[in-house]
Amino acid sequence: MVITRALRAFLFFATFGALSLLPAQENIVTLQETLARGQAALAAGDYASALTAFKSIETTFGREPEVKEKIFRLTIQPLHAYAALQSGETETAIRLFEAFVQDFPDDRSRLSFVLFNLARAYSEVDQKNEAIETYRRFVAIDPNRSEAALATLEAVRLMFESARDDEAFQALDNVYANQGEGLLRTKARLMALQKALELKRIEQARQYMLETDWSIDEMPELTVLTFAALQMGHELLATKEYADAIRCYRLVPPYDQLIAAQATRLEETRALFEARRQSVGLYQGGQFWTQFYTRLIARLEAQLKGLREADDYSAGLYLSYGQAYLLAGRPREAWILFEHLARDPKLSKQQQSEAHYRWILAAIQVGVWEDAYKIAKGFGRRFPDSPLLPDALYLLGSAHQEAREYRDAIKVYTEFLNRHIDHTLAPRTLFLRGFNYNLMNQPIEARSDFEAFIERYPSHMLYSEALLWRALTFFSERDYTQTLEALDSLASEVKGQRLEPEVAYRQAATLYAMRDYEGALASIQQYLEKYPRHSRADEARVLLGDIQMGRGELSMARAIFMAIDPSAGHLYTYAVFQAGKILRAVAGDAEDPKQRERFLDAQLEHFQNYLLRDDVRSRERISEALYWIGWTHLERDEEDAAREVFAQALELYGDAIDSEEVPNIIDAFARIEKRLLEVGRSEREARLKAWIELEKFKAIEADRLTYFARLNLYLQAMVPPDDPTNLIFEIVENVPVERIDAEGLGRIAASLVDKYPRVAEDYLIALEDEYPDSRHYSFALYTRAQLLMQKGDFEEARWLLAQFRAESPMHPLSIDVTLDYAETLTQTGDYEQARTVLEDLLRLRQAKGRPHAKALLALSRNTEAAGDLKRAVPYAQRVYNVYRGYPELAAEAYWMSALQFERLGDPVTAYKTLDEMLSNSLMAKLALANEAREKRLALLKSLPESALDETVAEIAKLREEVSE
Amino acid sequence: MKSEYFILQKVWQLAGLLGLLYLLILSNTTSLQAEDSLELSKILATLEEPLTLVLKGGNQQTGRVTDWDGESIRIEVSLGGGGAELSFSKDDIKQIIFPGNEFLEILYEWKQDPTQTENAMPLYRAYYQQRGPYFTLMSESELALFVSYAEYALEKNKPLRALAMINAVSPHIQEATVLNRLEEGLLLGFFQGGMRKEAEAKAIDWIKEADPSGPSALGWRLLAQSKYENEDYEKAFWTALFPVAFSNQMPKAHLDVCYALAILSAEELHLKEEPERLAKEMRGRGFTWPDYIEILKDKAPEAFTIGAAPKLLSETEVELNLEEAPIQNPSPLDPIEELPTRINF
Repeated sequence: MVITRALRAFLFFATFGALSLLPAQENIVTLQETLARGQAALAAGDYASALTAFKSIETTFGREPEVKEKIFRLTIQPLHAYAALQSGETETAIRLFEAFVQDFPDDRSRLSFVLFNLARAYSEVDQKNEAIETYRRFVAIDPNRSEAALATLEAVRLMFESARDDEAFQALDNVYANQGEGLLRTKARLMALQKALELKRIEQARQYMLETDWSIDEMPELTVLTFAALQMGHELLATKEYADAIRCYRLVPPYDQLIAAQATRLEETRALFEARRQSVGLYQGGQFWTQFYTRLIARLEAQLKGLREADDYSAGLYLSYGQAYLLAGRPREAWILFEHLARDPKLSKQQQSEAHYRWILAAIQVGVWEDAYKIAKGFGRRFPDSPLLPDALYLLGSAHQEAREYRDAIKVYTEFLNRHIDHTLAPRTLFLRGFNYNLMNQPIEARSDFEAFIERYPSHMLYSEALLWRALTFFSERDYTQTLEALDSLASEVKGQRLEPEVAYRQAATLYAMRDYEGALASIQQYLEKYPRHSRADEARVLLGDIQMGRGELSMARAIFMAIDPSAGHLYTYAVFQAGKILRAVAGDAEDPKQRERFLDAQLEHFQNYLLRDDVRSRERISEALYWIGWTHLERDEEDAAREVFAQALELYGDAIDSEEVPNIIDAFARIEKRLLEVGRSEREARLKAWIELEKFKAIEADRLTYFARLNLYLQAMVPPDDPTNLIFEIVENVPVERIDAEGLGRIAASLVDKYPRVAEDYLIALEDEYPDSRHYSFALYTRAQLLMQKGDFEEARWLLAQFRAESPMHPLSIDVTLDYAETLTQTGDYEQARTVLEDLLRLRQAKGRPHAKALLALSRNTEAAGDLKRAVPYAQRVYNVYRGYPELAAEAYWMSALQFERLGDPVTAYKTLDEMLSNSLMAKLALANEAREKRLALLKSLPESALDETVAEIAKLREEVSE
Repeated sequence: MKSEYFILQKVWQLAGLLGLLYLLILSNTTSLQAEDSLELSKILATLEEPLTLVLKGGNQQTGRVTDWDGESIRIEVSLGGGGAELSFSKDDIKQIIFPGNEFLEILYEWKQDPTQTENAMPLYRAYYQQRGPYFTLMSESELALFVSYAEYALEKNKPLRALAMINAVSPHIQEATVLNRLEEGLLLGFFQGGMRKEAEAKAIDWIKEADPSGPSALGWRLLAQSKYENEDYEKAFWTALFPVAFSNQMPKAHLDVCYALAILSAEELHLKEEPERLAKEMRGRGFTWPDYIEILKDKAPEAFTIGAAPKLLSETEVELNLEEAPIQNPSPLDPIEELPTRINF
């Protein structure tokens, strides 16, 4: 023992040093013998015998002058006290140590030893406060030495036992702040962390945990830190402090790694202890270090033993770690952890399934829906009995919904409802499916779900929502009377509830849609008065402006629009343009030129203010504002100013890929030129094309390729759709995909998809990947649907086209999309729905002409496919009778009609139909005419000899009747 | 990590490199003295002095080796004015004491000093020339010198020399941690030596065996680096991110490069938050930008520049899969293998 060696050295000095100076007397021999006995016993660790010897000196020789000598007491008293302490005679030890402190307060060599052991003694008899104070006196002797930190740690232990927590933490913080890097500094911080956690001082514990450089690759009590970090990580995860939870979990090595590291640290600590004990004497702090290391090694041994006997926590750690990643918005790291665990065959099925479930969540958050769906399906296959299966489906459906993939959401929700109709999430799933149908503009299916919900779950918290959304399905069908009826009925049910203002707003909006402006006005005013802070208040104010416009109260309407604040976002922009519209209307109506001028000035200032305001977060419709500025200049005969406005706009925004309004600026420029140039249309177009060509040239020269593409697309838009040009290919050749904006990508993809599907797909993918939120994404839906139709996948195409129709009803491609949508319905056997869609199209005024003819042809095909040949014929006949101006469509109608007659067993009419077609000189030149000639010949050969004569006679008779 | 000796003969045969590689270890030795410093010349001369055989019986014999066939060794010893040749079976030899051990400290110093590479490398070569034939008679602690030679060669971008050294020393090593170091050296050697296909295959094997939170991220690093260089940023990103996601505060070699590759790949993939977040985290964890990797040089992000196979189906499974499998039914294929992955390569 180190103490023994130190004592031996000391006693040598005591016996043969100081005491040998005493005069030789009779009883000196006895005193020396007693001292020698005490020395030998103390050196051998026989504290009881040592104590007896020292007691004997005190009692038997107490009156001897040499024993009374200061030097004798200075030397023997600490040893006597120490022997008493070690023998369990703590009170004696305290008495002796206290006497020493009182008698020798300035001793430099033994006082530290005495104070440290006195503190120990106090501690043993539960005199904690005295012990703490004594440790403090010990520290005060030399606060900078390491032993001071050891004493502080002991004092801190007692402070915590005495509920002097704040004081203890302060002392530990001081040790951490003042100690150099090493064992004691780390120990102080670890102790503070453990206590903070134990005392549930979570915030304090978090600071200790996260603001400490733990030197994890060196610290001995790694296990303690590991479990504290694990606990802290869980606490932070629960309190949604995910980034800090990650930092805590990062302090936790997995089980095997911790065992290996802890074993190494134990060996290292033992080695360090051995090294120190050889070199530090008793009064130099050896006793303190011995106590510290002995306790530390005992703790490390216990920790390692406990760790080896404990369960492997690694899987749990990684699940929590992954969860923290996921919730901290780091789904890729979460994916890695969860996939690894889900694939680890060494883990239990339970652990694998939990990881697999969270893997789905990570995939959803990464946004790779296809993968997420596969992983979710894989979950179902691997863990068919997992209670998490329905939850996984529900989440996946919600994720699709969030990604605006409504058809995929519907698919997943349908799967859920087919499999788990009794699950607690089933009502919500049914509701959400209806909601998604509504978003897909499928009000009938949506209503069916909402009505099923209303019937099945009258006590569900979404019951009122279902009633509201059922009402809104009528709105989608423009059946405002039914909408209002349903809302009126709902209004009384939701009184005093969250939905009350929503229903009130919807009632007003429905009245406005019905053009009942007075009713709408009263309704919206009531809404604004009752619910001024409702989330639709801004919308309501804009609606009020529109209602006043509808009522002809323009100045009132303008005042309302002007009062809309930029904080209202896109509603503010809408209001700005509505106010502008009113100014133009009143300027146009003004009979007094000065008054007109005043309104024009106001319009100019109005839009200039809009462009110049710096409190508008997202400025939209810039080009439109510029257009109206230019327009105003023109109205005021300031042509140069108008041109300058547009030239500047193109210079500033022409090549900016995010400036979606550039095509409109070009258009506005063209429209101004139209006003300025008093020349004919063809001359104007020629000049415009020349200007665009010049701009294109300059754009190429200046590497403004985005602008170049926009100019070319503008030129393309000037050409009738079926006229061949190389403009699109000029873009393909000159402009890299990444420099084409969303609209450009969409228009290129849509225009190439029919003839060059592979090229089109490159642009489509760029649009899908780079601009999933663009308003031009509808081009992607259209193009992808075309590709799917080309592959015969009409089911998938139908979904995309439905989404297109729901999201972009006013899109230039909407009529084509409606025709394609009807085609997909026919191809998937939904003939009734196809008929409805096509008949709706026939009612659209803007679809007159070619689209009508196409719709009739589609109706004929649909009716034929539905097996009703007789009813199919008239549709086609109507085309070649009414739309002969479109020879290719009329020819197709003749051809279709002839085949239908043949199948109906009327080859004569079939023959004559083709004959009539081929008698038309324009149709006779079409490619289809060759097929028609061959068919006509084949029909002729199949007819009985006189079959045609009768018909000829009938026709002649009919002609006579007509001519009469 | 597997601890058994990894056999590379197949690779050597395939590459036809073995002989060439051994030549590489010994290359330039004939011209050493003309090139090197005086101190090095002195050391090299010492290394050519006779060696001492310590026999199991306790006797020692010092002399020059005249023959060594792997079984017995013959040395020429000086006897007075003349000499004699003595032969010993390898089983009788306890140890060989080579001259020049006293210079190992100098070698260590030169190794630490970048300006002394020109001396350190020839000295390593000379030690190999002196001791290489007797590896079977040397202890693993004595062989540590040549493990460090391989690692030094890699550090100094001499991958072929490192590969040759690893191949020479590996058969004599049993210690698992040393074998792991050598295996990593081998992997790095293939990579640095431009044998990318072999390196990729080896990296994938390494990853299959590796502990995700283990002390090294070498396999992931090399695979990610290879993918990054081939502009396959998606794979580079996920591969580099793997050890980052699993990492804890315990030291992990190559984690800095993985961080850097993940950051740069994320930038190429136009990921919104990852590049900056990973860069800040990397710096916050005390890593510096690994400019020592050529493709990463001068690409430190702003955060570093501011301030501071299918299984056979059972009949039941076949029946269940006659129709499109509903989500809860067992898969016709091993489901986990079929699922989208970002961690298997």
